[in-house]
Amino acid sequence: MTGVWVTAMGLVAPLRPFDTIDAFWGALTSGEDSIKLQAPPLLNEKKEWLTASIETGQALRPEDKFFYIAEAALKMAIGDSGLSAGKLQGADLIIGSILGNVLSRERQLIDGNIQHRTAEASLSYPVRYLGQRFAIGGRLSAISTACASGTDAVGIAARSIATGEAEVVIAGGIDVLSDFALAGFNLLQALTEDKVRPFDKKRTGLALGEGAAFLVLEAERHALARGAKCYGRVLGYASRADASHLTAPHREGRGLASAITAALSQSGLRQYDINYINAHGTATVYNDLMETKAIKLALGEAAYTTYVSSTKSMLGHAFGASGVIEALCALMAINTGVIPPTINYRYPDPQCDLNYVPNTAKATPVGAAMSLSAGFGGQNAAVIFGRPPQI
Amino acid sequence: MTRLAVTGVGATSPAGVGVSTLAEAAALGHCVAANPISEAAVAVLRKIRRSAAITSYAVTAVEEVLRDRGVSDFGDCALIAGVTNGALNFSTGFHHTLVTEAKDTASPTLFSESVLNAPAGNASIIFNIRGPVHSIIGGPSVAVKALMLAATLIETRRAQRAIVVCAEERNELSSFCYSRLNPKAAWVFSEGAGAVLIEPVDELRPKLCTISGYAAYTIPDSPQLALQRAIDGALSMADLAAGDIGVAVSDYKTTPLFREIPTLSFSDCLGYAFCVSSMWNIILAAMACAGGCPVNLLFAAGLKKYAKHSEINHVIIYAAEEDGDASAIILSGVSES
Repeated sequence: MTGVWVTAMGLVAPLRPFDTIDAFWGALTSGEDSIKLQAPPLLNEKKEWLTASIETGQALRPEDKFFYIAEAALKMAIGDSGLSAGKLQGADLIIGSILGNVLSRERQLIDGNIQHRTAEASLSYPVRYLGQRFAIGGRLSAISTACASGTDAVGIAARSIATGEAEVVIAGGIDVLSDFALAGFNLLQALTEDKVRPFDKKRTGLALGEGAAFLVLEAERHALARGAKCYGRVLGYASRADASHLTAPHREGRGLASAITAALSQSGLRQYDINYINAHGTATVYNDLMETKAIKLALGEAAYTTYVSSTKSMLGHAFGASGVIEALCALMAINTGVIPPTINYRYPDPQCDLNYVPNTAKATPVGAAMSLSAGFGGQNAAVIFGRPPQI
Repeated sequence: MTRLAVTGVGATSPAGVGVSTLAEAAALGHCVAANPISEAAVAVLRKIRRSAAITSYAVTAVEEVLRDRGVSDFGDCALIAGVTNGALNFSTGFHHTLVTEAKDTASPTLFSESVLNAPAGNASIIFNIRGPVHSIIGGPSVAVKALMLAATLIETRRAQRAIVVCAEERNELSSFCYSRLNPKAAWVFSEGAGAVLIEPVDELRPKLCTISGYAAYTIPDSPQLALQRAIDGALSMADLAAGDIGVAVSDYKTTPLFREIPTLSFSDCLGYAFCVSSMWNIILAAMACAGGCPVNLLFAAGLKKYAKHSEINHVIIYAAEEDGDASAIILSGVSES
């Protein structure tokens, strides 16, 4: 894939409310843990859950958080891009989400009033709302490929630029914590009551998070013509299915390995050229083992010299938003030469034997970075970024 | 640009399982929209016996496509699903249990099977489809958008062929919401699935029709302009003028755009099933292009009445939504390709 630049980024994530990507990155690379015991968003329960929640500092109703963080992140990305109103008129917008504004639907049920905010509960509503709110005049699309939604949104956006279908596409991911998701993942026994310890021998599961992130992707010629900055180039993207199980990953990482291999092939890079992988790294027993096997299957011996870390150890699992948040982390690693750590890592797992950047960030030049996602339905996606041309 | 053809079709509808029942119902014109879809007809596979209805419909439609085409290797096949509301009965059931009962009493199946990509995920598992599998969300225009994404995957060689399936299930909440949004519309809500297989044109491969052009636009302030641009875009891609189109097909939400061209709608007969309605329109048009099915007579009758052509050549299928999302696709008869 050639000629696709990332020219702007916007993000609202846990840790604490940040105004800039640099502040977020500083906290992340210093290993700040945003996961703590918190009450569920709407239901009045005694039990608290380990979650990574965004503190907006606003007196918001829980069901208003989805659009609040979505608008804030998109506003940041558009501001960062410097795109004029005229350019936005021609831009496409694609959003990946799993649940949409699920809290709105919960509120309907709690209130026993299904007439309340009916439209907002639909998953196609956010992209239409944001398109109108920011006068983005191109095609508006919503994609839902479970936890790979964000990565697929970025990849599909990049592909549409590479094929000449579009010149500017804003790709984003948004999801918020909900009672629905907490209960669901709890029933699937995927939630930890300990720290989130990706790739650790004593890992016990994931913590749910939330967030909104957007990347502005632009055709190289278009970006050059308007003097846009470049955070990195999208070099490859692939999506592959496990065709194995709805909720469990393929034990040998078949689909993810295939996605990595296909993305690598598209990028024209060799296995050793990938310096950093931002892993899906949920900290469930099966995901981390599968992912390690997939990376080894796809990269061979190069897997052992590639840095692999899971930022979910600090940010939790933000569902469909996580793919875009982690793509942003991969781009920041390229731009700053710092790889964020996998925190809470104590006991090496003999079966997870790659370099997971345990507990402390690693300063090292990153020429190419990959971000991986996997999700329900056997979804797998890999996206590869390369250095901006001016570096 | 790779020329693409529709090489297989499948459907689950209130008329029954199979494209032949869909075509017969459309040709007869009797309203079947409120008919229940027989569980016995769709729940043929053990693996999906606990899945939501939407998944059963999707899997049944995809199975017919694959049986029809006789393909057995899906390593390089993409699967693109179009969904409007998804498994709302499951997700509402799960939510309801959370709100009214203890969390631990909810069934995990209601959670995992309610994700919007469950129909596509289950279909990929059952038929061992290992290429790109995507689910895109939206209203009736999503059927064409899904076809466009599939076409891009084939064009860029990320897949050799692609199955596009749209599926939806009836739900009290969504029926209420949509009726409330447009109280004047005489909605008869429907459900089911429609699937097509698209592949590069190959003279040795049987096909129903070729895909000549497509486009999708979103203009929130002007749905009519979005639709006009989508139609113009599809015509431009197909290198056709509006006068070359023999028949237009849309649903009853959309005002006919062409004065000189007959516009068919099957909504009075099949009901409104959101994105699935558009896919049914595409399937019926593809079958009409291929000839030899009951609905072909309906298309041909329209032609004789309104147009100069004596046989079906180019059919445009379009969909528009009140929020400004619109799409159009042109299918061409084999003799025209």
